[in-house]
Amino acid sequence: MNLEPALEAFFAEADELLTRMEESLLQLESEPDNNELINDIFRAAHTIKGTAGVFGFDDVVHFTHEVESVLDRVRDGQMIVSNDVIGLLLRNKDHIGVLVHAMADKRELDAAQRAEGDAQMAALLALLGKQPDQPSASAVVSAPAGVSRSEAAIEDSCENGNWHLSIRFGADVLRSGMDPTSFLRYLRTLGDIVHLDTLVDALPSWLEFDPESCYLGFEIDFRSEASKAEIEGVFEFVRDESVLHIIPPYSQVSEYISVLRALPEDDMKLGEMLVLSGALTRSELERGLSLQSGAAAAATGGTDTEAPATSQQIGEILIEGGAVSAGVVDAALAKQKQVKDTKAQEARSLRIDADKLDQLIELVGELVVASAGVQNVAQMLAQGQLTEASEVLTRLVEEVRDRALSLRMVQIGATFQRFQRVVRDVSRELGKDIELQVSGGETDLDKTVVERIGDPLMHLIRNSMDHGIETTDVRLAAGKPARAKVMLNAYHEAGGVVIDVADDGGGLNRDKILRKAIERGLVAEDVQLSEREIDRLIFAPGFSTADQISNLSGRGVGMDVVRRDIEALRGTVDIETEPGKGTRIRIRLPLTLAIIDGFRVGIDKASFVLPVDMIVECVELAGSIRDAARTRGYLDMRGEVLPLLWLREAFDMDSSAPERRENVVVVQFGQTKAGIVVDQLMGEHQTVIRPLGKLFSALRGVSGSTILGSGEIALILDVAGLMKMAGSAGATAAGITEMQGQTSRHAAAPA
Amino acid sequence: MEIERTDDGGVTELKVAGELTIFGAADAYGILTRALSEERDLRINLAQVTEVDSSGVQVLLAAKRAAEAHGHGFELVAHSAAMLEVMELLQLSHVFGDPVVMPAQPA
Repeated sequence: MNLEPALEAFFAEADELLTRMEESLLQLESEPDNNELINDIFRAAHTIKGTAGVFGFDDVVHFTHEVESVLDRVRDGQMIVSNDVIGLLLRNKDHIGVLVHAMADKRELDAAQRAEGDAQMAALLALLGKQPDQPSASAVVSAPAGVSRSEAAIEDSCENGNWHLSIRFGADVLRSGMDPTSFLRYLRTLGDIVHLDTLVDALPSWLEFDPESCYLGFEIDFRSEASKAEIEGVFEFVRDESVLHIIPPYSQVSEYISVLRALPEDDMKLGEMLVLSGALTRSELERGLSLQSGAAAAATGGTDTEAPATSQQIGEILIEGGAVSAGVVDAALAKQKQVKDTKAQEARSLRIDADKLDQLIELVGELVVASAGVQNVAQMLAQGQLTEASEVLTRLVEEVRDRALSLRMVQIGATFQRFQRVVRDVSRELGKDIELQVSGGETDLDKTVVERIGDPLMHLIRNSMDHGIETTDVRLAAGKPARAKVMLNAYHEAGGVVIDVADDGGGLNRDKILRKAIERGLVAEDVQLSEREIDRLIFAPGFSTADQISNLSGRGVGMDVVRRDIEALRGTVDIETEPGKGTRIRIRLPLTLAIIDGFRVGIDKASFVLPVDMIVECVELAGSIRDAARTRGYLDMRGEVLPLLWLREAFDMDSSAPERRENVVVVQFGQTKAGIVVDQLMGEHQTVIRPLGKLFSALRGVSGSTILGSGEIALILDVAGLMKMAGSAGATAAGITEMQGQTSRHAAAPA
Repeated sequence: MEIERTDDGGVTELKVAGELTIFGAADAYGILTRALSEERDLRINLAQVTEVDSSGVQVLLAAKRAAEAHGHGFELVAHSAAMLEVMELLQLSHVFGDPVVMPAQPA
């Protein structure tokens, strides 16, 4: 049997579950009483363990099992959720990820990973060992730490003096030679089974029934003097593959409720739930049932849809009869609703292979080109009806294009959330009190971009925390709050997305940066640099100001890699800093990597395309102004200096400029404007970006190519790159070679 | 495990002899599948069952459900001591709902 697809699904699911686990853990830190969160975490770990077991990933199962045991303690209220425990669990979560990924890549763990795993395992066992299973008496006294506020209202402890065991045997129990009945027989040697319910809800229809799988579950009221560990020990051999909950005698009702919430059955009838939660006796239930005709049917079978309705009635009857408190019924109903809600949500989204989506977008790209061709022909023929028809077509194609591209759009929020963890861990490590403020998480961005922006962001955030934010003492001395802030914000800005990484730290130390840069030979000693140019030095390769190389950053690989990663996404990075107030790094990214709205310009017979989003305006360049601009290299734009770039010269094209006039396309990138001088302006065009071959990878000022409707090829201009070229005269003079453009105006003005 | 089949016109009786356990579960499932497909009332005679495990219980429970879902009868008769022990352990008498006669009738 080919397990590959199932395996892939498992790996994908494991990633999702681990992410959820991490989110819940982080949230748990601020809300340690939230039972829901603990259950969530437990469920995630449990699901991973279960599925890993099916595939025979014993390492994952073994490790996760211990994690689960700790979580179980937490859930039973036997262990307090301290920050240390959360820290360990977070590391555990990482290690599970490592194990799963090792399985996915079919490789062994390296020594460091194995050592980390062993260390964590030891810590887990220590946690479990330090708090040996308490005998029943003390379990009664210890109030569960994990009772959420809403449940605190129903604190009445139940009168049940028996243990309650809830067990669902794993499907493979029988196959591995174990028989549930023998466990029950063994259990009887430890005490009396007061009541036992065999649950057959999991039995499938006859045709789907596999006689060698186990579908049984049991709810057991058990009277015994044995300790929890002893009772647990009974199920030792099936513990890993089965779901076992043990509730000590006289437990709080809320404990029953939390177990009830964690139970796997989703079509669980309310009546059964109540009995199983020990909140009422079986005779009370039966009395309740006999009051209502038709309930019997619901107790043995009945479909998903009718069960809740019937059960609700049971609930009402039971409350009226005084058999259960309303709180218990509410909790049981909430569980049913929760199950329904999850189902509804599942139905709303659809998992699609990313390749299929890419093929679709590829096709849409072809369609865009083809429709541009039609439009061209229509314009040439100048035939009214045809032009009209082609306009409609173009509009629809544009819409299809936008919809298709939006399929690839994902919200950046999930990526942002990941950093909560980073900030938490790093702030501990640095001994600084730092919080991460996230906003704009709903901003959509192309999936590829989102995937590839994670690393640079991680670097920037770590850098902010390590270098940007001062120590607590320094902060207090400067009259700032002790708790520092790192802010992540995302928003849309014309044609692109902006991501800000800001901190309220000390800002860049320009003297130090300049000193270091001179020391490293990045700039000449006698050069005058603007503040902005100094700030940008941190993006130069091999630059680091850290006096101490910390474990996080300061190894000299850093900001230049960040810059390169971002530029590879056709984005830019910009820095603003104010000494004593903080630093903001602003990343600008294109919305998508595939299709843009282009503006076509021409030099002689060749066409070039500029992204429309970057164009501010177009102006005519003729007469005396033209001559003046020629000599000065810039244009006086309503009192502003606009550096100019003659595209013909930039690309060494040997045709001569038109006699009467040229045109200037004013482009803006970030805060900087520049003018690109071309012969003709040819209007807007939808452009499918095709990457240039490897051969042209060193080409500057060109980011790709596109096929025009007429079949001609046009190069897509890389505005950021061109601006670098436009400013390069000034920049070279300033002694900076490897710096990205965006030169400030006074630097661009010729000396 | 052996299953002997008799037919008295209205009801098909399956007489199980030996172990009703995981080792014979697939066989039992096969025979029951055929019996169920005939759309008749079923009677399972358990007098000579020497051992029953969870898989045996499970297959009987599933068969009962399947038969009743199609509106046919399904009864267990002549429970042997081994069967009674398991039914008592799992507290299944109300689930099966068949009258249990003690001691088991000799075959």
